Amino acid sequence: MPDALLDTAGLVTGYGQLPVLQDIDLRIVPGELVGLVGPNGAGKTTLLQAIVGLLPAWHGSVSFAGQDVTRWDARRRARAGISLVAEGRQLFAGLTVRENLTLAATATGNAVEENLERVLALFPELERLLGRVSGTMSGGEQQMCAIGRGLMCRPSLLMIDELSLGLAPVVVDRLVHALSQIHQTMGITIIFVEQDVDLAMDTADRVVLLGMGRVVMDAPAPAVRARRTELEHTFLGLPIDGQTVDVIAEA
Amino acid sequence: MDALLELRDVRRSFGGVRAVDGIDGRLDEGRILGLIGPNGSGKTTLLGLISATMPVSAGEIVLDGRSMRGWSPSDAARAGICRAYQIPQAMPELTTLENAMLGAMFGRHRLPTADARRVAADALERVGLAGRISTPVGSLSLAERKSLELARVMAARPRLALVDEAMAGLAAAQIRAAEDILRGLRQDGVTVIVVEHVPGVVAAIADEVCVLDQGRVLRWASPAEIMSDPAVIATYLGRRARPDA
Amino acid sequence: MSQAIVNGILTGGLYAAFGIGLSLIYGVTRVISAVHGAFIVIGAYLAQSAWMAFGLDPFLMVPVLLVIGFGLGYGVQRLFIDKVMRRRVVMTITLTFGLDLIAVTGILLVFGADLRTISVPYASVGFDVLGARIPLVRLGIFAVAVILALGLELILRRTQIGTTIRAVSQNRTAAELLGIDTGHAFGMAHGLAAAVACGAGALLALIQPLQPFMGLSVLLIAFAVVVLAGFGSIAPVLISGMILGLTENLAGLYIGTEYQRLAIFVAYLAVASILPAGLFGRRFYAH
Repeated sequence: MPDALLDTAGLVTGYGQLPVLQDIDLRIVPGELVGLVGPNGAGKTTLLQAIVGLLPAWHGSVSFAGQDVTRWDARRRARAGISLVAEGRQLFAGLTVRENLTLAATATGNAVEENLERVLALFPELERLLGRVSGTMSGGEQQMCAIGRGLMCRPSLLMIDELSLGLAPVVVDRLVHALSQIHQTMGITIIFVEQDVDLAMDTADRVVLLGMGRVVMDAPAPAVRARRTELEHTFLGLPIDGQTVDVIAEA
Repeated sequence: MDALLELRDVRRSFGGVRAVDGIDGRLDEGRILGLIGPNGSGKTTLLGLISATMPVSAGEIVLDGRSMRGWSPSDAARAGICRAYQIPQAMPELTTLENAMLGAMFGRHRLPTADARRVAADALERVGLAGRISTPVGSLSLAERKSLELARVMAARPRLALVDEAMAGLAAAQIRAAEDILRGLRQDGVTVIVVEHVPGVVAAIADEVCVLDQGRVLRWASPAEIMSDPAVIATYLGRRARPDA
Repeated sequence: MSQAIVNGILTGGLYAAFGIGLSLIYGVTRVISAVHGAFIVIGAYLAQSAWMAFGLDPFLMVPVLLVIGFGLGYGVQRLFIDKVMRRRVVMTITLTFGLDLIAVTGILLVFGADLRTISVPYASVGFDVLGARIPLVRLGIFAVAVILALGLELILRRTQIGTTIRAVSQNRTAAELLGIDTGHAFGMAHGLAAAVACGAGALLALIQPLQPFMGLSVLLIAFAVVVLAGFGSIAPVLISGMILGLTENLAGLYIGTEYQRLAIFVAYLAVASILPAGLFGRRFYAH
């Protein structure tokens, strides 16, 4: 069994007094491409925020690359190689694309030129947009810039919240293609949240289904696809018989 | 039986965004309607239109045979429409009893204070807040505040109760209790529209369910039909959330 | 009249230098800093002391004050404001007013309550243009103030730390996700702002007698500049400074010198109530 890149054990967290995540055990090994799905309010964004250090763990722990990072703040985790492309892209809207990208490299102590080349090879579209103020670009361009900015930090784990939300199908296809390149060519482990469940199952190797703050299913994409009824019931908020938590068989 | 509420091609735009984009439908007296749909599908906007907190851009809403065109929220309240809010709007300095009394004093019946107190105390008892009558609302839990919202509606003795996410964020046992309160309202002869994000929550209590998607009615049918409808399922699995090319 | 216009414009440059730091602090940290006036007054007193003790020209003192001001601003941000930044606005205002009181008390203890002045040997040197007398000192103050303001702008636009400060001001969470030390960036922003304020204090000392309680009126001028200019780039700040300078001097000419300061605030209130977004459509107190 390869060493885990990311390992959450009994993770509980939430906002204010309100718990959102209950007892999350998630173990991800290097090289996985994981789709995180679930109905609205299931805790997908909350989980990413807890992994990246924006939300403190109430109970349980988060380990990354063999180190216990539970008490680390977001900045330290970013430097250790966890990168989050947050919901809504969160670009520095008044800064140019180039400024957005270079800042990410320098802030994490990475070389600008080499990483910029790598990002532009992945998204050649960004080359002519380097001087553009990022807030003025289309949603698809912003998403490319946001993913590019995430890569400028040289992460070993890249997390993307809402890959396709609000984007045209042709742009989504483009991003999915880029995602597989990041995964295969760059060898980066990826967790992405995707509201289109079928897209998530088509793209990811492994699918994690959250419902009401718990892991409802965790299995290879084909296995999840085969359990359509439970999937649908989770999204409609209907009761599921018995406990159906699967733990992925490490191959 | 005549419809209590009729929606005739109801529309509402914000700038260029058509939040409610041509909704037709009718709701008979004494029914519970579950209004569901993904984020941004227009549920809360439609509720705002029915409670007259915002005017329709086009179309017409008819209550009891009377057009609501040009109504203010207080016109709607006097006609017997009462709304329970998603985030309880209770006034934190007032006690639980005083909050519930507001419903009776300024609703359809405009009861004098003594009667309002009696009706409000009665309603609080029915929602299980009898022991919290003199507690300032600020120190109630989320579940208690949601119950108080329902008690306020109950005390107003409305014809049509609009309930926005009365159950979101509650634990299973609390949801059960809220369901009982809503059934009690129906027993009083109140027609209820329940807005929830999660379809499963309304399935247990609604007589009929209306699914909104992008400001339109995707399906309006019985709960059982809704929960097995492929188009509804697809919407909740996110397929339709991609903008149409 | 032409004399009042010349004086107004020349003073306006200094007012812009008062305001630009306040604008930067608010833009980056969302804190309305009541201690900003104290940085200016401290600069003024230090310049006056250096002149008295060593005969050092206040203009030459400016670079030294930039360093001192930077240290003060960085320290105040990291030691105090950092702790309350995410709290309610009343907390940050109370805190910065408290710091201002401490500063004023400190000045009283160290320098006493007597009026202090600087009279440089070239005080009366000047030249005439179109019937107006342009004193060399005033021209120098104007030039240095504008250079300070432009320098700050240049740092924000062109340097690594400037880009970082702008990024943090636009999206703090995203910045933290990239590994940016936001606390340091806030400190740098406040440091730069205080540096300009302290430097401008030396210029103030050249034209106005110093007393420990002058910080409040200086702060109000800075505040008026920022509300007029809205928050954003430098040109509106410079223009607003000059508008206030002109208002002050023309009021002095036509209404009476005792109403000069009042005129500034009447102008400021008029703009604030008629054009809440400022003269340039950039609302100061909104995102």
